[in-house]
Amino acid sequence: MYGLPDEKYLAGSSLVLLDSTLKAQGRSRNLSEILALQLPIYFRTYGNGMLSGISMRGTSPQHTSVLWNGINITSFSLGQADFSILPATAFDEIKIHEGAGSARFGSGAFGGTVLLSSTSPSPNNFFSFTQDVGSFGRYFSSANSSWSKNKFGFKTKLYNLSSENNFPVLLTGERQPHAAFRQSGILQDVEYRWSSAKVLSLHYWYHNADRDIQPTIGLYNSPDNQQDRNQRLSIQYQSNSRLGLLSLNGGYVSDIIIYNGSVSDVSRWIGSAKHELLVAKTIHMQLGADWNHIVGTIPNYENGHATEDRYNFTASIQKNINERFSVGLNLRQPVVSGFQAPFLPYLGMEYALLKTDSHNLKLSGNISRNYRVPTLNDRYWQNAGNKNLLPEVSRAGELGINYRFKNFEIRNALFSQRVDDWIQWIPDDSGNYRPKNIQQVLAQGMEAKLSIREKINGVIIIPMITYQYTKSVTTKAPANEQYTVGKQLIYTPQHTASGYVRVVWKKISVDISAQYNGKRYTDSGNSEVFALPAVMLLNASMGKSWSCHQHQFDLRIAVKNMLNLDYQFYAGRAMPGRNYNFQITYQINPKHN
Amino acid sequence: MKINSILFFALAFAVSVVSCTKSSDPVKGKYQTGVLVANQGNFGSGNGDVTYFNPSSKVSEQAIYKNANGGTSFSGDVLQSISLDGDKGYLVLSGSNKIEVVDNNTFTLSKTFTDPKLDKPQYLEVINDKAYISVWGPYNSNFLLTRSYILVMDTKTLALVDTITTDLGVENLLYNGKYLFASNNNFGGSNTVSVIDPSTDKLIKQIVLSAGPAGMVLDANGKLWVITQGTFGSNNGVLYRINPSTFAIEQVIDLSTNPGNSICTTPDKKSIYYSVNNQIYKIAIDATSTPTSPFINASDVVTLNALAVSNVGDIYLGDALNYSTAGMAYVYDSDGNLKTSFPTGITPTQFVFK
Repeated sequence: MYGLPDEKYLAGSSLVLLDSTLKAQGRSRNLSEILALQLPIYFRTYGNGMLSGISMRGTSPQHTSVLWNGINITSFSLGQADFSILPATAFDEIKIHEGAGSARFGSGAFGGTVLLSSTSPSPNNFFSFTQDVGSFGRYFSSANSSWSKNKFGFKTKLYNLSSENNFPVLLTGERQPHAAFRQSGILQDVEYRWSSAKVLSLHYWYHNADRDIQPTIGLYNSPDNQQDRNQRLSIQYQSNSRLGLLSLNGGYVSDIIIYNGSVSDVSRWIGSAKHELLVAKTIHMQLGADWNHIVGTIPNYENGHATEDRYNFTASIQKNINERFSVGLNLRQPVVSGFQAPFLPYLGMEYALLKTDSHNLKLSGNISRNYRVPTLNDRYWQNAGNKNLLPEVSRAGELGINYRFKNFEIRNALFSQRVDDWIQWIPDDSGNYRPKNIQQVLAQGMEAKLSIREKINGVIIIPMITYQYTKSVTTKAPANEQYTVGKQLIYTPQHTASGYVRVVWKKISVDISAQYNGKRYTDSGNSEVFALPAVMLLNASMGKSWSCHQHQFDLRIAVKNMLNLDYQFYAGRAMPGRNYNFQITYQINPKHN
Repeated sequence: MKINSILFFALAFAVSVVSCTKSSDPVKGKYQTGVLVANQGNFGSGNGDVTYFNPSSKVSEQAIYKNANGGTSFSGDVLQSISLDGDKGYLVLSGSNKIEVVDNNTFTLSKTFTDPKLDKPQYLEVINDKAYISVWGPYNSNFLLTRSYILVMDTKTLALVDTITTDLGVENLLYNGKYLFASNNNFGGSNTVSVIDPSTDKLIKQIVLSAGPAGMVLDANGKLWVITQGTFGSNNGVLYRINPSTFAIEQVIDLSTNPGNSICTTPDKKSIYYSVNNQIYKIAIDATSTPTSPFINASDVVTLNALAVSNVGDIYLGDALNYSTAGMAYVYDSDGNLKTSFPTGITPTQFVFK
């Protein structure tokens, strides 16, 4: 038997694959720079190439989970992933699950989950090299190779990015000081196939980043520097037999942050086992258990470190009731020290109202309960952390309608999620800031997506547009923060849209993309004085490719922020005006054997 | 009778001066008279700016620096204080490490001063064309201060002319016509007031008090009062009366609490206000112990972050709420009754009366 993909078990919700062209064109970029071109996502980015936190469906950066080959790689001390150090080139496949999915993806999957994965080494060997040169002293190089021999497959990726990042600040006319950065990394995949039914694979990733922290506009003598060193290792064994598909997984993650010389280090060891089987010929069932051993070595923790173990027990069931109707059920029971973890179910279904060769009309819906474990900082910070802090718990529901007619597709979704026990650091009676389960948030909204693919006289035209309306408000607040009740969460635009038009003619392609972010409040009382105004950014690029035998060249020139607009994703942090990028990629595909 | 007639003449003179200004002098700018509020802004967001409040029309205006300078940028990160010198205004930005020199009637920017030594500046006092700037100085890797000082700047050329080392965490400055007093707070880690002679720019004395010296005022007798905030959670704040010539401590009043950092006097300088959480206490300058009950219980105020008294004796309270939301100011009359309130920027931290 074959394992079912996440999509099937998550019937009733939407998983979006990042467009391969967007990914290829943006290979020198980090994920925060390209995801928002295809999805209604907002990134709180603290300057160009700086810390970037994701916000999906009206939630905060701690409420989107990021998994790499099945391992959660959000920072366990801070509770969020920094998308500026997730380079697009590092991942073969990038998928986004929109909406709540803790039952499937674990802690923190409220607004969505970003699924990053390595695919198997290609059976056809290849090598490619990309060199990218951009404005403000930006250089990117990467090399990819894939090689298979007998039962072994290897894949290696290397990348290096550096930027002086001294762009002119449009507000002051002066160059941005102290924002240079460098990132480099290596990924190694090894696969060994005993047979078509037994595979052992290893994925290793090392990322090293060093940046001068871009200060607020008008600050000239800033000393802050941050270095990130991330190691991730995932080893998987899969065995397929009449009894089902068995997966054993071992993992190791080391996240080191060195901020102005002060080192914080969180290491984790992960073990998991999963078994997938077919029951009564039609019901797919997946049973799993995992174990996480976490060691945080952080000077501000009591005794300088914290150690804990967490466990999860999961079961997923998928059944096609008939040709038109399918159901997915996911159940998770976490075990975490300090509190009685809630039981997390997800129930989703899809029903095809219309299913013909050309028309397809599908209704979908899901309901779920989700949770987020407090961060290590929330739990262990000296004289403030509270190990008995409750997890945040959300109840979420979604209804969707999907219509496809040939190459025309439209999708609409309504979503609603209530988060209880939202954690805030607030002063206690003696003025000491401590984390408390104090806030309640209701995030509701609507999203729409339209995509078309047309071919006219040999010219392919692909327009895509997506829009999201999000009302995410505080519904309960501590007694001395009542003025936040009914107010939109900070850095959560009510209106988000993005889209692109791509025209391909023979080996030439032209893209124009747009990203719209409505007004964002930066204070919890929603003061208009401090709100960031709405902005629509436009980008364009043009490329051509040449092939000669097994050699292929791609050239692409891109202009970002074409209108040279001044904008900020986080208050006070400048972003560059119009800037340019030139990319050349060479690929060699040896002749097929 | 005699006193009354002097008062009458004084008042009549004051009124005539005011009316004179109104009728014949050209208006220098829309912020020529009124109340300025320095708002720190949200730390790291660069949105510190100034609120203007007109006490007669009760109209307020937010972000007047931004409005006066093209409408695109706030004054900077963590606007800690504003100092006036004639028509000039100095905005001290402790997050942006810069000082914006503006026309304080129009708030248009004339010059920006920045320097590597200007690391977390706090307050500024102009004495004879020299600006004395209290500077926290650099942190070590544990965010502890390592070296604090007062920078002396020529206000004409904006050139640094001297550096006077103080104790750690130097903050408030007060000039009594002879000496410049500087309180060294450092969150209770320092316990001194530095005395500087501006004629030589030398530190001549460190007056040792108790933990966390903060606000300072001069009373009707010219005596220096200093409040110390104590160490966090230890309820050991103290009010000191100090002889400004001999530097002898003349009076010590234990507050048995951790008070706010500001003190101010009534217009006659015969009483002093200080705050504990959102309660304002009033103490006569001849008192020897603390008042038993507060003068004002500002129940609307969530996080008292600024306390000041206007020229007419109104008491202004700044409410920082959660330090990351646009705050509020509350105005009480000299009898302690709430008169009005107006919105401020994020984290109001100082009132300046013009």
